[in-house]
Amino acid sequence: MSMYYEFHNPVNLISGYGIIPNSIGATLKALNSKRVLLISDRENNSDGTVDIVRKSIIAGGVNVGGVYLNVPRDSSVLVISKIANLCMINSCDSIVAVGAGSVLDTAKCVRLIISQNTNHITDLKGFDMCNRGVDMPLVLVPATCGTGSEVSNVAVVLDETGTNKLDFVTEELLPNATIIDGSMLVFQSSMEILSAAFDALTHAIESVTGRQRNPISTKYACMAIMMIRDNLEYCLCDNPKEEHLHKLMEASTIAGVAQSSSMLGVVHAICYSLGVVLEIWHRECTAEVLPHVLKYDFECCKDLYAEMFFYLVPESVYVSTPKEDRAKVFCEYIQSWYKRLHALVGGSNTIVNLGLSEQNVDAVAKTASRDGLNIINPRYIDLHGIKEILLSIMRGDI
Amino acid sequence: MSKKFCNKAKIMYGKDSLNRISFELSRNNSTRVFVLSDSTSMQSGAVGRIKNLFKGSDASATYYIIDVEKWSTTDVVTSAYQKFYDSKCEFIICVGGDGIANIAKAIKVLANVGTSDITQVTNLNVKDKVPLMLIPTSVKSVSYGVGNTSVVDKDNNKLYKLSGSVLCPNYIIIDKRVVTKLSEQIANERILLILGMSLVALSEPLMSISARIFAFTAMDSLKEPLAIDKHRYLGRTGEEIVIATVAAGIGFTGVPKCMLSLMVMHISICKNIEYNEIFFALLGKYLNLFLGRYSTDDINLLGKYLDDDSVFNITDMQDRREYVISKFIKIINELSECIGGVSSLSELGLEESEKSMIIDKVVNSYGSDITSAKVSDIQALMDSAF
Repeated sequence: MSMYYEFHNPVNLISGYGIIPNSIGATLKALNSKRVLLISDRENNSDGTVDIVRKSIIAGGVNVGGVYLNVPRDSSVLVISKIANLCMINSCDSIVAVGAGSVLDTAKCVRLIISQNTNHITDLKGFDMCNRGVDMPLVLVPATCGTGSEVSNVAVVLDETGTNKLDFVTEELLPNATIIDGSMLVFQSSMEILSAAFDALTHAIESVTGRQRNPISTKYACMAIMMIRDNLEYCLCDNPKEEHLHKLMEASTIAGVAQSSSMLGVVHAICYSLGVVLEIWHRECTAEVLPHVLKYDFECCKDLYAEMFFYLVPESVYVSTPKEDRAKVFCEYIQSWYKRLHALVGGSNTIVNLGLSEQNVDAVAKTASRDGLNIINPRYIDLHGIKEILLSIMRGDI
Repeated sequence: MSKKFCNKAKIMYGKDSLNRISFELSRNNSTRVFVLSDSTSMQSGAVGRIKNLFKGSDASATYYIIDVEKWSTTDVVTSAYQKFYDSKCEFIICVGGDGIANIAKAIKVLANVGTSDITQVTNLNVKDKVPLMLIPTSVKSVSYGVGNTSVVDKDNNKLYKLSGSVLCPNYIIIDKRVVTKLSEQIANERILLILGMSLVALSEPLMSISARIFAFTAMDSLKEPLAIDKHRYLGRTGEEIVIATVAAGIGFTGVPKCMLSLMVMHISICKNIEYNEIFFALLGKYLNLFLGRYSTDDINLLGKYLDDDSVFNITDMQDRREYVISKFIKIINELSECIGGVSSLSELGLEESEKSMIIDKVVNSYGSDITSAKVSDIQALMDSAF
């Protein structure tokens, strides 16, 4: 026994299709919450999600003491301070957040700043900088099938200037409970579902290949890959079945559990950087970046690719692929699968037409090279390596 | 309908994991630690290793060593809690096996609820203020790492079973420096338990996805579970078996109202027979009867544990299901032989006349969730066992 590992995910996972109306209030009540701050964004407010959540809170006999519905796509320390202030002014004793990763990360940081009794969230940036536990119930409701933030010990927000990404990694970011409800995906377009699901798939793959992998997180990741394989395509069709939507949502959450324990790698370092420099969602980039990083890491990860192959491909592909070819076909399959699904939903965007160009490639590479996730990547990478990957994306080498 | 899953414990496994204790104490701002253990762990040197970790640290420890009997009693729990209370400790570390862990969980619940009488505990929805760290020397039951405990009130001949999040250990540290080496027979018995629990859990339709993951993690920890012969498990270390048992337990408790578990529990209480003996007696029969319950995905995942990928040459799904489960039943039978055979319910002392009483108890355990199909399943399993 030469290795050491830790696995910790104490989040209470409550999962079921259509459970939101009856579960959030009850969950808050069980946590002795009396007055809650509700956090979300404009999208979830306009599609009616926030209303459903608000009614569920009230149905549980809990008061809504404050509401903030303006979390931006890339949240920042300024937004967090503003919401924390709102929470304290309204004497809220708990937080509920519904939305994508930015909303959930914001809520996690709001609770952190209040619980740690500091006015400066930046004091807590980095790894495990908290000096006390958190004593404020936090319930998260993911509205996409890609974030994983609802079960992760990580939050990513921008600094005061809005140009630098700050990472927070601590168990104190884990919520008390997460409500997983596939009905949230009916508000999403097929393209949004596809890009979010490939983000979740990337979470799973990077948590298997990363240096911090462990047997439990690897099992979580492999199961997530299998569930994405079995359900994603059905969710992209008209009128998808509840079962497929819900399983895709669950897959995203369990990929989140895996990445919370194992962390991510270069794909996310690059995609976060693309998100900041090009002002786009990072999840729009992961499917395109992933094959290039798989190729970069191939020699040190081929056994792990072969292990994940079983979970990724249909049985017919699995049985017809010789063992020695599985790692290679794993990489090829991911790209061809994405291309096929991208065409199926009528997608036309690529990272290049979203803005990556010779003018900004150095800025993207420089920002990505500063990301701590590079240390977790299985193969050493530096600024030069990242730029090579970006140039290979621009050339369409794969 | 919703499925719920929560595993509160932070699992720390492997090389030098005991060295993490001081970090976790400091993270909890705990300086006074109550170390609960038994005389076996004292003699083996496990407690000494923990003592050494406190040398030169900011934390001080109060040690309480007791001999554990088959069942924890209210008297033992009350005395241990009193000692904990007097020590003014704010953190519990438990070194040992299942018996002492059962007592540690009882102390934890009393400390958090704020009473010294376990028979008076009713509301378990309280804040988890006193953390519990379990350091196993060996684990023989799947309840070790999860949120439940059982205590016998000898005076009133009553068994108190408590379960809830507040009983969950906050930490489980598995370090080979304190894990007991297992004999071949005991190792095989544990493997049979892990395999059986995981297979039964996976057959339950209400199992959450996280619980399924833990069941498969347990099977992964066994490595090559199908490559069985009497000597194959000699190379497996005690800590590998401990982590597999813990994972199987977390998976198994993710199944609400598992039929086999309820039946085993009621027979165990009525006849005062070890849980595992009854479980082994029923396991093969359960798998034979309910092989249709496994999902296609799970059959394929179970098939992956078989040698090479030959299972995927069977194209008919029903044939594949039968093939996979029959292979596992074969392993279970071989493992049973390795441990000197498994007794039937009659051999364990359950009379056929007691069948209906057990069936009634299992049916009643379901409360309003009982269905006619479930009743038929319970009867079928009981009939098959005789």
